[in-house]
Amino acid sequence: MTYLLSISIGPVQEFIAAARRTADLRAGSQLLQQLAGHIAAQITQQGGTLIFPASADVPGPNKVVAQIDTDQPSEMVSMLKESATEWLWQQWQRVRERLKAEGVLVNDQLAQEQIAAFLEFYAAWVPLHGDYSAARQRVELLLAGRKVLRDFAQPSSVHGNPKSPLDPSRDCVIILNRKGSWYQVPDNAQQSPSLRFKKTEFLDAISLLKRGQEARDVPSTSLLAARSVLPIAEKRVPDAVETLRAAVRDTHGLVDMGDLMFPARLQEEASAHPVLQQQREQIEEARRKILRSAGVSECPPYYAVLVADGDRMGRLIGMQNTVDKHRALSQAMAGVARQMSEAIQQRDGYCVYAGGDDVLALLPVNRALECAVQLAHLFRKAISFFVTSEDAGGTLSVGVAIAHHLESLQRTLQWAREAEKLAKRQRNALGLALHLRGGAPLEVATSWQKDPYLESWMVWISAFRQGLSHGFPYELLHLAREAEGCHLNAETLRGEARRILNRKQGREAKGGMEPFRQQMEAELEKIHNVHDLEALAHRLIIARFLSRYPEVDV
Amino acid sequence: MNEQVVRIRAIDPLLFRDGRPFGADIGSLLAQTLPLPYPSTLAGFVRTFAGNRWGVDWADEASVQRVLNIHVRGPLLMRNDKHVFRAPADAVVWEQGEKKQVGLTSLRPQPVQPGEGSNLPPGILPLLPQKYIEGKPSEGYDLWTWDTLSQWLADPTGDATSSPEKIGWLEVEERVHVAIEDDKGTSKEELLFTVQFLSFERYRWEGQAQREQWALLVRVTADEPVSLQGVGLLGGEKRLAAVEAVDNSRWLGCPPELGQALRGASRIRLFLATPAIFSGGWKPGWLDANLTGSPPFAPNLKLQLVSAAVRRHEAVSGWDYREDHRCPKAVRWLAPAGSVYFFQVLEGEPELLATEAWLQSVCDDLQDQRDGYGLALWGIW
Amino acid sequence: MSDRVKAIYLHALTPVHSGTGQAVAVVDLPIAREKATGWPIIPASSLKGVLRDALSNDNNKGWIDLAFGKDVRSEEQGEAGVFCFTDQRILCLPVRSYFGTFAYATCPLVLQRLVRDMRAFGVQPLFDAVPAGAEGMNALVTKGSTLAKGGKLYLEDLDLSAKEDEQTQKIANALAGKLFTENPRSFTERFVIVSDEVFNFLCETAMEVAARIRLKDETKTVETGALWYEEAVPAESLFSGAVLIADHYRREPTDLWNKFQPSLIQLGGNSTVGRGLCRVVIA
Repeated sequence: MTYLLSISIGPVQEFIAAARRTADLRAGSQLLQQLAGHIAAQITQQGGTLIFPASADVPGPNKVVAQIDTDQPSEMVSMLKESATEWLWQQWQRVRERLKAEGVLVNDQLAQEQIAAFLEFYAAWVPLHGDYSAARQRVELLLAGRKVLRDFAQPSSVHGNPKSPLDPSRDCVIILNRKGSWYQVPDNAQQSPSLRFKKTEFLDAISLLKRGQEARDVPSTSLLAARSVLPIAEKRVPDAVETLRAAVRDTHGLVDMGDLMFPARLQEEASAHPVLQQQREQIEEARRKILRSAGVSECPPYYAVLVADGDRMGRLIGMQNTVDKHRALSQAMAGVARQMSEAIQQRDGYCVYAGGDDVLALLPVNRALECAVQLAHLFRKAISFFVTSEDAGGTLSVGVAIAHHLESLQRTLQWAREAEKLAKRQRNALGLALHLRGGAPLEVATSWQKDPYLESWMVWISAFRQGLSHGFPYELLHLAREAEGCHLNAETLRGEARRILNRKQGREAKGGMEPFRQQMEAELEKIHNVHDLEALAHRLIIARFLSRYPEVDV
Repeated sequence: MNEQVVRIRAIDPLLFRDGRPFGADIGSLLAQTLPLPYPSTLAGFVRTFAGNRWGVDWADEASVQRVLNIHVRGPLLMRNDKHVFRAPADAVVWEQGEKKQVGLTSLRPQPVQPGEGSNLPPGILPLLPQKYIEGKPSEGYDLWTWDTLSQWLADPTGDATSSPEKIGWLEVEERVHVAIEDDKGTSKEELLFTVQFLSFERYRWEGQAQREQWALLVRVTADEPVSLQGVGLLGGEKRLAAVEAVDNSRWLGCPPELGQALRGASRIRLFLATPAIFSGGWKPGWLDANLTGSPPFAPNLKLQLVSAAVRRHEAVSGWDYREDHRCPKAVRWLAPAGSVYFFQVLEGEPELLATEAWLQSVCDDLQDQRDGYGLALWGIW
Repeated sequence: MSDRVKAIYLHALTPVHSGTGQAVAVVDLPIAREKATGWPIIPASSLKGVLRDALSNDNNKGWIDLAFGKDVRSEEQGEAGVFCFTDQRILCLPVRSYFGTFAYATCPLVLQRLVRDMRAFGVQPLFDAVPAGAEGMNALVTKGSTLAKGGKLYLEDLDLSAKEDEQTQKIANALAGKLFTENPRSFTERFVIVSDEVFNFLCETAMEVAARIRLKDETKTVETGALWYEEAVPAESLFSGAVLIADHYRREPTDLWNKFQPSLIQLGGNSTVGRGLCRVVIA
């Protein structure tokens, strides 16, 4: 008999976000993708036909839909789950061997239990004959009904054992050294270039599974921040950049260029790596040269996290009323995922994950907006064939959070998700959030439909670069506050805003701003109430922040 | 027996640590707060408070045992002096249309059609919505008023319950602290760290004015009299909370309509008002291999588990502060508050759930019961 | 209970920027605000650190460690001292007034929370009842207030109706008795209770915002883009809070209190520009 099978695996977002370093992030998402790929491959081996993902080579991270021929769907599902757990176990064995080779011992029993209990594997199936849409709807309903019960067993845990800092619900499995009244990760694990443990990284087996992946060359958040200047310097002062690159090579990858671009980071790393200490002066000199070439006095310490999610994908999938159509959509998703990944790389970013309607990327601040524009564009293009009506979905909501490179990664991811949520509220939009250290966060949504190229941002960024007074947004905000009390009408508001703009263009800068004058005035025309004015002021404050970043000539 | 209902109100926003370390390492510069304190945190707070009033010597094992015998049930959350609970996991709330009209439907156990199936634990039926829902459930309906929840528990189908008010979690206040470099008196960027606190008040003036004051309610049972009035340290970072004895009637009784509905009922629901610790993980340890058994405090009632709505587990470990062996406790995973279990009544009269087992613990372990885990509300389906 | 608690009042003598800590990047510095209300606060942790520094001298290390903990920056539980500070919440905000130059404005919610917390601490509140009548655009003033003429009061750009009120007078007297003992009238004649909504508006608009610039190290010229806006609570602002001796300190507290007599502190950054000077009143 033929069945439609739907599988959901997890945990996804929580698992990926439990990361201290970008390498953990990458390893987590890769692990899940490979796991989904493994399950998909098993289904194919059993004679099943994949619907999503289109093929086992391009898996999505957490979902598999397939058509299977069997008399025992329940047993096949059990077999798939066992096989998935077995696959995880094999991964763990590899990591365990690597740890052992570095002299790091683990509590095997605890680790085994953690690996065995890690996977959330939910599955539902229905007979498939005739109406594909109805069968798909039904199987998703049953799957949702299955997921209402997130069953779990009590974990093994030892009184007195430290908990994992990345996931405090699990015990540390590393055999630790007792240091005074407390513990420490063994020295060799701290010194090993491939493990790079901090002395308090009391990791659980799942976190170790990530740390043990060969996730090489994943740029640190510091490097992502530094990439707002490095590519520019690469063209203008290549020798200086090469000096840093050589220093990085000398540490065997224990630091990356991002670490060398911030004096405090350099100081910390230099005290840990004598080889850097010796070259300290050359590195400092190269850094200054790089910064000068990009026209900044210090390396800007912020970077961007971008997440994206297709709007109303459930509805769009529901409209694909045959297996073939649904599979074609999956194929399109895989195709656009590749394009997106390239687009991110071209903008000096790092694609942690791209699954078509689901993206997670890290970017330099001065490339984040154009990257968001490009991703939304690619997505629309790829999906247009499947979108048959206005409200059929198939648009992309993008969230971008700009945060300090030393901010906790988990936190920054959360901010990006919140920005995405802001975009999702109106759908087909960009949510941009600026989280300055110690400042109140600013969030602004921009509709892709109204502004597909983000011109309402670019004009202000350019204007600030040309000398528009940095006090302008604050005066607008002040106007908004005052107007709140006394109910000014829209025309008066616009008039006031125009008057402030005229005053704020700066005498010597006026010429430089001429090209934007019309556009700026057009932007002010869009003010209809205090809310609009406030939103504009917020957008301007972010634009002003972005304008301080060196311009990239594409 | 001394029974006392106590209201605990934060003087300043409070921090309830989630177990992550708070160190100077990059990427860990954040003390995150839980959305609500665990029962054991409150139990510990009340016991410390009482012990200090008794003048207990904390180094003395016997004195400490005296304090540990204090039985603390809760916390129940109060918003403007009215009880609110975690939204039941067997309810789906969504907003539809331009006007964001609120829809509500229940999830109920449903046998599947021949040939269909899912990998639920053996003997458990899937929980399916009673109405068709377009799109995703809406966020922000995290907490329900007792008015709505008591209707919901007495409502077998969920059709007769009015839509819940949109009540989100307590707000989180973030503060960035600076470690000052002594020599220069300037802050060092690397040493900025963020601490989250839970704010127990919320005032808004724009648009619809909001005035919310939140508090925690616990019921304390002790062998000897204890005065619970004053101010004590609650949670992390040395923050203060006011403790105040209130009339015992502030504790929730089972409303008569619900008691009536329970009488002679053949299908009952268990709602967790506080998170529960079960030896079987998601599954109460008092259920046997056939999923039948009697809950604590209702030994004459024999129940058969049919379905369960349990959100992703939470975890609690905490610190063992006893003098000579300060160390982390073993981790245990919790079935979150708001979980709903569906039972068939095999034997006995469920009416006593409205009295003897009402807001009593359904946990397996005596100390967990005394700490206030797994407080149960009961309903029908 | 009450011998273990003291009220703390702060009187800002210069504008106070108690922010959330932003020093290196060129960005805008808001003051710390309480999430519940959006009104200015001075976090307990900031006050504690500043008091510790202000009171430390070569001869009192033992007392300092006992009261404030071994090191304020230390997160180790065991080393935290026996003093527990609450956040300092805004009590009165100085606001530009058409008559009488400026007003000490407060509102019912501020006063209610103050009374509520004093009671929780087992301290006799300075006043019992918070008068009704400060609602909407109606405000309450003291007898002989210099702020109102003909029942009218103008704060910032707001037109308010003013009513003299006996209860308001009592509150003003009680606060002046703690904070302005030398010249109570200077406070009472400027004291006004506005509605919560108006107070909220003032907390948004009546802060000082100063543009600040960073100079290039070598040339002392303004660095491009190095201009930022910094918010500060204006001089004459009043804050209130409390300090409590933790339960685990089982001894008589008198000795601890005797040494706890700060008078002038400097809060927040920017001491070089004379900001953050506060008078401390322990009551």
